[in-house]
Amino acid sequence: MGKGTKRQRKAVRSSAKNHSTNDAFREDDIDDEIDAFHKQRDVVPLDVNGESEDEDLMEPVFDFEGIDEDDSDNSRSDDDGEESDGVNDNIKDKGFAAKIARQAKYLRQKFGGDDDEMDDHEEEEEEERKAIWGRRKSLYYNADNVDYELQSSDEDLPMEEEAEVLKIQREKAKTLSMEDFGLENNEQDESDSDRQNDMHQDALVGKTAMGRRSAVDDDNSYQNYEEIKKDFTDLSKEEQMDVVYSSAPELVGLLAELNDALDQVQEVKSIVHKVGETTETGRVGMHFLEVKQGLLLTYCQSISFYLLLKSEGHPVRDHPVIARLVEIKNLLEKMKQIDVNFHPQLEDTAINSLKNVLTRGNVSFEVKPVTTGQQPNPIKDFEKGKSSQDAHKTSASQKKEDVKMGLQSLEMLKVRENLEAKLKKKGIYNLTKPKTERVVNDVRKAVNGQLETLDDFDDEIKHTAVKNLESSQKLSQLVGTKANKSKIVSGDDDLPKRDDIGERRRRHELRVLARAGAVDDSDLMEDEDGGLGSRSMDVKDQDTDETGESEDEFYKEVKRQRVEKLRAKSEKYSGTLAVPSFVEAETDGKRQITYQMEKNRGLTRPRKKLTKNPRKKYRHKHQKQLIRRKGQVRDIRKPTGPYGGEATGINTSVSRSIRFKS
Amino acid sequence: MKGGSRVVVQPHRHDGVFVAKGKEDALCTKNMVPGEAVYGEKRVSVQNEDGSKVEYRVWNPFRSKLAAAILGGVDNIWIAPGTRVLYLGAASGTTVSHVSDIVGPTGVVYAVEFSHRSGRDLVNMAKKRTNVIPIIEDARHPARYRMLVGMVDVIFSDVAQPDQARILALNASYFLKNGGHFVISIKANCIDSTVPAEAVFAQEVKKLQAEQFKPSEQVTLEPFERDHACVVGGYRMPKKQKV
Repeated sequence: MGKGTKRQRKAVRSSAKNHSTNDAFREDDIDDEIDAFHKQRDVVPLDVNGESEDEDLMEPVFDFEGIDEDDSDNSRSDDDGEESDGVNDNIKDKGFAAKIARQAKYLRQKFGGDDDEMDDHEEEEEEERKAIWGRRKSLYYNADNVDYELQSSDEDLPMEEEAEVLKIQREKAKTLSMEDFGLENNEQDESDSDRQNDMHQDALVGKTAMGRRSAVDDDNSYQNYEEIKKDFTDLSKEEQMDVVYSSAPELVGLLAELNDALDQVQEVKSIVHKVGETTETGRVGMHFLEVKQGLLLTYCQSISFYLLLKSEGHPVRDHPVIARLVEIKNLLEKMKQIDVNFHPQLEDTAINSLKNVLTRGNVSFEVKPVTTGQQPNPIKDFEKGKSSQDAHKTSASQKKEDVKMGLQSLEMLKVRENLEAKLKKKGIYNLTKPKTERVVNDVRKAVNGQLETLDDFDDEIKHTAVKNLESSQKLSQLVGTKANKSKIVSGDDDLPKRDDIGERRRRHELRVLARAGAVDDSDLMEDEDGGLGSRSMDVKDQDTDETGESEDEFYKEVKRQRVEKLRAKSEKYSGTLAVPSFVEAETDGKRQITYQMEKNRGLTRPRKKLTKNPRKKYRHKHQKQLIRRKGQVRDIRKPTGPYGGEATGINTSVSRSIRFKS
Repeated sequence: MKGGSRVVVQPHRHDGVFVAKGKEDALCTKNMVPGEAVYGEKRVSVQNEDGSKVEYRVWNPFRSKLAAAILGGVDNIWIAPGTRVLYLGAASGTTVSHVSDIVGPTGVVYAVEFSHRSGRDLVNMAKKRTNVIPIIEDARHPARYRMLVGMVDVIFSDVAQPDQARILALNASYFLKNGGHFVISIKANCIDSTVPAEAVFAQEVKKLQAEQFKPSEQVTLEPFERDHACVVGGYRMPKKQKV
């Protein structure tokens, strides 16, 4: 073992120094046994923590030593190495063979068996020494120089000891401060990962190789990625992107999403603004748009918060914002689907609104009605293979599909072109007009099944359709990918369609209400007409009147019930006074039953009281048998006191002997 | 005896045995030596019509196998006034005193006891009773006391030895007249403690039958002794004459 020989040589060379250091340790740190014990007890848990964070702490220490205290550290590291060697030798030379083996093994494990990298090795040994400093008393006592320790006079050593102690204390203080400082550095690095590294760059130049290696090692864990981020200035753009992808694959997608969402928010906002100005019918429809706007804004907020977290270097893995993002994403998908489903319904309302708008001439749409018709139809065709639940699943893979257009979307584009051509031939008015009529009829009928649900759905959304139309027009105008995206989302929309439970519930309630009173029905009808505000206002007034009446009735009913209850109560309590008279009347009318009648048990057989209970019956049986046995087998009597005679008497005529047959 | 002056003494079925009926009933025998108790037993003195006093001694069945057998309801003890009795295993002479009371002055009791210690009590008792002849000898060797003992009517054996049947047979062959009777008390534990008492009794009865004895009855001494039995029978009984 070359290590051993070298160490021994070193030990011989610096034996005096070793003694001094040992003495110093003893004088300084371990004054008393109790103190030592307490110190050790205090130290050990700290060391344990330190060990667990050993990997983390290594870098700042290195940095610090590399930068600031090169000369002093070098000199000290030599000393420390020797000291640690000395310590090892001490243990070894004591003849604790097992201990040596364990120590050697431990060191080999610790340092990966790298005997050739002596500089690195020494540094690590120093680290090790720091870690184990003061952990075991045996390291400082009972070394191989016990005899010398015993012999040595302390007179010539105090100076050396003092110097050594001072050195050690300084070292300790420095390491502690550096740890804190290093942590701060880390945080700073992570907070401004983009602009950092200017001041640390020269220090890090020597470290890039190591940093890269560790990045390659650890790039599967996000935690490590954050720590090593400071090295990225030296990496190329592609490598940086690689690291980003490997550590946080959602980041890029989220950025794209953020941009999209911002765009959409702007659009929606403008639409809301315009529609709010232009149309008064869109009161209910406004609601949808507002919801959408709010959702988008929340989405943007969440993403930006996520990015903020990222940039500050906080761990986002288990942060609630992730769940929030997913939730909002799902909601957005639902909104998109609703958009898609409403597009056919948007058309007719859009026409109305367009008419209004065009007549006013305030706003000029670049989009022709043709385009409004074309968008939803391909989706309708594709609805057969889709369901709303699948849309939730696809939301995760949505981002990637954004980036690269799938084959499916290309096909859909083709289909769209075809449909456009067809529609141009037909013209849109044919398509849209009958639809509204059908809607009205169907809702009246309230047919069960698929058609009904869709129509009901249309009813609700009709007012929103105007604005949705505009928005959809703009969207379709903006990018093809957008439309494609929506198509992809609703790719399995043509499965048997079921709305989500809230919608169904609402529809059911509406139906019940319609069955209950004509008021709601008329209200519905008003809605279906797509009528203007005046009639609906009238209906509203009616509704409020009716509700007022019904409230009055309700209160009256309650009052009546209460009065009745009170009366019943008073009767009940006055009835108690009337009870005696009632009894008297009864005595006149009917006779009381006799005692015999009362105790009549019908045809049940009479049972003996003693044998009714089985337990008691057995007890009596046992007692009887005991008495019988007394005559068969006589128990032994002990003579008590002077014999007085037979208490049971003597029958002289009885003969109980067993006769033998002759 | 509890009950005071109201105690009545009645003769038992067996001759020479009486029952004192007071608050409690007790067996008793007419005391041959009035005014003296042999082993601290109670005495009942009864005044006759003519003014003469008769004293009875209470017979404790816990100390005498014969009394226990009588209380147990044996048919016949064959010991009666005027009979000659060979008593094997007399011990301290408690039962012997009662037997001497029963047989009375006309009868005689040969009491054989091997132990000197209990033999001393026996001799002391015999000093007062003229009809008791104490013999301190081993009952296994009847030849040693054959000059003392004449022909007897009844042999009572209470030796509690495993070979008591043989001992009885030996003595009977020396002293018991033909057609005489024997009363033997069997302690089952002394014969064989491994088998049930009933089996031991049957076994002993078999042995006796083999020795020209004819056991007629058996009675257990149950309330007073554990696993004891008394077997009563005849010796060399004459065959019944066919009429």
